[in-house]
Amino acid sequence: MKKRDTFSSIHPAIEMFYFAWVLVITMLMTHPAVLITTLISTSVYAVYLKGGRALKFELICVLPLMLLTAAMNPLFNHAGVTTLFYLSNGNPITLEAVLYGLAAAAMFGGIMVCFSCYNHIVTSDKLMYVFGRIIPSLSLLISMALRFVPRFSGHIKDVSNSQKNIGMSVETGSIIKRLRSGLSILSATVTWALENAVITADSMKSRGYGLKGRTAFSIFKFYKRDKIVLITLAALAIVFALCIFTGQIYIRYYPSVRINGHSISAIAGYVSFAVFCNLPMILNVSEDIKWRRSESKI
Amino acid sequence: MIKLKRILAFILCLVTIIAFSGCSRFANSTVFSGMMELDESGKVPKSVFTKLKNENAVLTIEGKDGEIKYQWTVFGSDIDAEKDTDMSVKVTLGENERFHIKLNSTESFGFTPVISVYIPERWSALTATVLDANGNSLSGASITGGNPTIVNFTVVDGVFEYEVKGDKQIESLTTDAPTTEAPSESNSPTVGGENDVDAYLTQPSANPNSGGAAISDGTRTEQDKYNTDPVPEGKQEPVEPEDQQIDESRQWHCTFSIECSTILNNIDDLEPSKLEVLPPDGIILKKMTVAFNPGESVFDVLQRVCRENNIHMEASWTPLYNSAYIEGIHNIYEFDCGDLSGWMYRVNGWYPNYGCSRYALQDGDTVEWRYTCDLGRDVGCDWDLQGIG
Repeated sequence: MKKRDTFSSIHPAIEMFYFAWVLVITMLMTHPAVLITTLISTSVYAVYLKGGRALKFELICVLPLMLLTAAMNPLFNHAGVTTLFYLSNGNPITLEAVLYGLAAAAMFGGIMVCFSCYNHIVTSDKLMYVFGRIIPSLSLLISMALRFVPRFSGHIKDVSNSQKNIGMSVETGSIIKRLRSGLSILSATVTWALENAVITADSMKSRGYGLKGRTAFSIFKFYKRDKIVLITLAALAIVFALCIFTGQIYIRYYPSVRINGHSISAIAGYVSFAVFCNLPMILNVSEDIKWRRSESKI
Repeated sequence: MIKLKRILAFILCLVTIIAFSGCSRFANSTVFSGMMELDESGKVPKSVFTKLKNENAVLTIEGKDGEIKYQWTVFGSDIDAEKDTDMSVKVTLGENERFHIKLNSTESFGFTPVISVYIPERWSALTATVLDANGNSLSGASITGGNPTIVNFTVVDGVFEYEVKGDKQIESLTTDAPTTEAPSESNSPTVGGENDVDAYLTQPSANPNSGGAAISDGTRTEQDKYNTDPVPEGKQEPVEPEDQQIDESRQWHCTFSIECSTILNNIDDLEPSKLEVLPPDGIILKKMTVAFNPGESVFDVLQRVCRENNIHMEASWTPLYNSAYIEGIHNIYEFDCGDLSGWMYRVNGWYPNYGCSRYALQDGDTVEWRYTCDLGRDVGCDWDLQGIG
């Protein structure tokens, strides 16, 4: 049975806020505690949402990219006071560059997994609901762009299947023939995509999208539960932001590693960030427990 | 539900208070820099030194004696005992690129800061020597800046009077005085006596002692294929590193030094994180004699010297100029001290207008790696005067 996700049912604006904050913090902070928190909590959430598929994505796609990022940095960046050994071209491999590479890899992985959760939770109707009034054309563009890749690949599959029937398969024949049939598939799909974009834009315009006074149907309501979640998230975010601005949670990699983050307030910051990141999971688990309890009562 | 809200509010208040209570602990691990001006009395109060020491900061103290400006650079990490200190000095300019400096303090500082004296004239000397009142040599001083000339040296604790004189140089473009220094041993005996160009620079290129390098006759007017402007007459022409034969059977010697004292005069522009790696006296590698094989370039020797002395160095190969480019030494990188900063090298008083992989070192050469904060103008690079660059 597919698990019900409670976090998807709360107000879209709160979901947006959650993802925006996690992404921004992960991109701006290179502090190991923050990065590990993001990486672990978003991975757990992705696995909860999508099961084995997410695990496969993380192991096959994210992990190799992370390893590559971690290896790249010390190869191209030689700053840092602790020399480990020398490359054949005479430049040093430094401990600081290695550590920074690891941090960059964790950041990269965290952001990728976080986005995979985002795509699952914030569907394009939610995006349109939140930003449709404020920035109508941009939100339409974003939602079309986000939809583009899955639609494009789906259409390529359709076209290549129909091409196969007339003997223009990309899987058989000489390389030249394959290339030619591949190109014809691509050209058909690109034409379709361009036309489709124009049609979508026209049809949205003809429906009066973005005009003043136009209303849109939505089933999103701001419940009392949403209010509590929003207040909790905002409070946790404020605590964490205070820790950053006061320098309680701080790291610098070059020229030598300087790290702040052993004070009680820094630990309060970590806890607040960890609770923030794991809030969807907390909601889900508490809801599951409630569900099971009421089930056993019946 | 109301109960839950109250608990939540209480927890939030608690967490916020904890977060704020820890604020004062911040600031111990980073180095800060600051600037102050000396007043009439020249006294620096004890509280300044205490603050400097506690915050592990770097302070530049500026003062004036008549028209002559001077500046102290004090590192908080150097200070052992703090006390009120008179840091004013009296500077008397002398003839022939020398000056006399007297500290007004009568008791020793207890630490050894660097003083930079701004001499309102252009010196032709490339380096200077610091003597005490009895004429004993104490240390060397680095010269930065063009006009005014800035002389930087570290004071010796307990010595209150110094005599600083500019060293006579091998050859200078700004003075026409012929050199009086004896050429080094390895130079060929075919030295033109009336020639005012330095001896070993006039060696013919066929000489086995040239390390494969020719001397410019100043007739070239076009750029070469690696975009190098004509080399001034009497200076060494570039060689291509891929053509160089390294003769391992023989050993030559050169003098090597690495310094960044210009940063002490521009400490405000320095990336704050780099204060930590900045040497208090601006000297990364003291003048030392280095052995090398004929045919080796300045870059080869730099790389080896840095590795042997555990000095960090990063270089990147630039095919356009067929040479390595030095990005950073001792973790002080290009652009770390303003947009015009970076590493330059000087051989026998001349900044070659080509990369360090293309300069074949000669026996007895003096190589100085210097950090500039102003495209070379502050370290005595006179490409502007030569009409090059």
